[in-house]
Amino acid sequence: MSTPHPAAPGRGSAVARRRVAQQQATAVKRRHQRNTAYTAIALVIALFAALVIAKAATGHHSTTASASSTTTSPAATAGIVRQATTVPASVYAAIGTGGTAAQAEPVPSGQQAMTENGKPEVLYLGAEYCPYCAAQRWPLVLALSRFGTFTGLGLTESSSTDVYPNTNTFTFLDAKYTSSYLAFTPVELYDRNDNPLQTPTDAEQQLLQTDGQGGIPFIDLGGAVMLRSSGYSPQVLSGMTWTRIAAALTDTTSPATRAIVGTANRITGQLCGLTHDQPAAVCQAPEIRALEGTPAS
Amino acid sequence: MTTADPRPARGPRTGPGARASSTAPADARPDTPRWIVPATLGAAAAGLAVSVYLTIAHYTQSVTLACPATGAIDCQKVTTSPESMLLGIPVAVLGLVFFAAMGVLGLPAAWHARAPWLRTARLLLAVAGVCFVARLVYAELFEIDAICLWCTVVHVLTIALFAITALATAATATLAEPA
Repeated sequence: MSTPHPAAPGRGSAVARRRVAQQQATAVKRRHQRNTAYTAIALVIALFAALVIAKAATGHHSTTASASSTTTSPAATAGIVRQATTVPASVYAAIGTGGTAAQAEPVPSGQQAMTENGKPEVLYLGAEYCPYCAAQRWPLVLALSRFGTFTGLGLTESSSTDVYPNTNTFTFLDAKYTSSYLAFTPVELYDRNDNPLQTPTDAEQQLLQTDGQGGIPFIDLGGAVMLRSSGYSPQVLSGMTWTRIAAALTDTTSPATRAIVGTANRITGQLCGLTHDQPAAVCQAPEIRALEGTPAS
Repeated sequence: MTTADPRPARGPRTGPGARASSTAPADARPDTPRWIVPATLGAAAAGLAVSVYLTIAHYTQSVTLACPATGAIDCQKVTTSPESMLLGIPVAVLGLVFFAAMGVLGLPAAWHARAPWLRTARLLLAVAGVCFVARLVYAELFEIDAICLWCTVVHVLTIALFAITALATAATATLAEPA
């Protein structure tokens, strides 16, 4: 004879009650988490809306902004400067003139040698709006970096309303240059919106008007040789950002690199003429010796 | 004497009156509302496709993004800006990895899984994606000063994935995991 299990009905009902309680607790928990999710989503949407509103409130696209230079992050700027100032010697050797035309010409006024603290002085007169200055800064930075060290180089673009608009380049506005061989004096006359930026000395202004015939960029190399305009067309850099230009500086087949490095080699040749072939590691390179110190180069 | 298994069947519940959360015990595998898997996989697949396109454009000089360059909108300017790289890695590649990971974590098996760490990992990844997108949008608006339309598609999909993940995580919560 069998007897029913005395605890069975009570246990079944306890399990059912526990299950219902768990379901209710789960529903409450899910409702709570759903509310949290809605709040988080609303916060995310508010964050992006705030960014857009802040942008709208602080100004439109930079083509009409008054800022003289870009606000690219310092780390990114440093990376671009590092790439531009550490181009391998093998790249200079492989490119040579890069098909660029000779640009240097004797200073017509026949002034005395320009020096600063006993070192030959390189004077640059340009402006941030100027697309030819934008193109010329790249090889100038490359060439001078072989003789010394830059700090404070910034990034900017040429004017958005001039020819070759928004050419990506460096600015010498806050740049400092130290070298055992050369002194470098940069003057950025106007910002990219044509507002006055740095004021040249009377002597610099005189040089610009007489030897440079008022045109920029004007670069005087030690009072002996001058470079007017850019060594290549800014068109070569059209549509390229600083990052792309800098990243390509090890690609000897890139048209931009060939133009920049080729022009840098020509400038380096002139500079070696001023430094009496110092440093030897730079000035004794065959591609530099071939270009050294002759105005026609 | 036999008793019916109170747990829901392992296969999909297709009966007309089958409500996703009405019969499963709280400590069983989380039943998954039907919208979750297709929503997650759809957003992840779309994001993956755009990321692949951006990655190819990044590494291939011959491929130019189909995008106007009107000043405020300029994909090329954004995708070749310094901000397009993070620790030497193109952000397009990071996006590709992100959407691939979200795709894996959005598979039906992953949503059905009980493991709290999996749910937490998916949610944290979605949060990380939104944070990174916020940084990129800030860079576009205030540093690069240009908007990339393709990047914006990726940003919207990332935010959508975050919303889907947050709501789906809530909808599949169980008592067994921390609140």
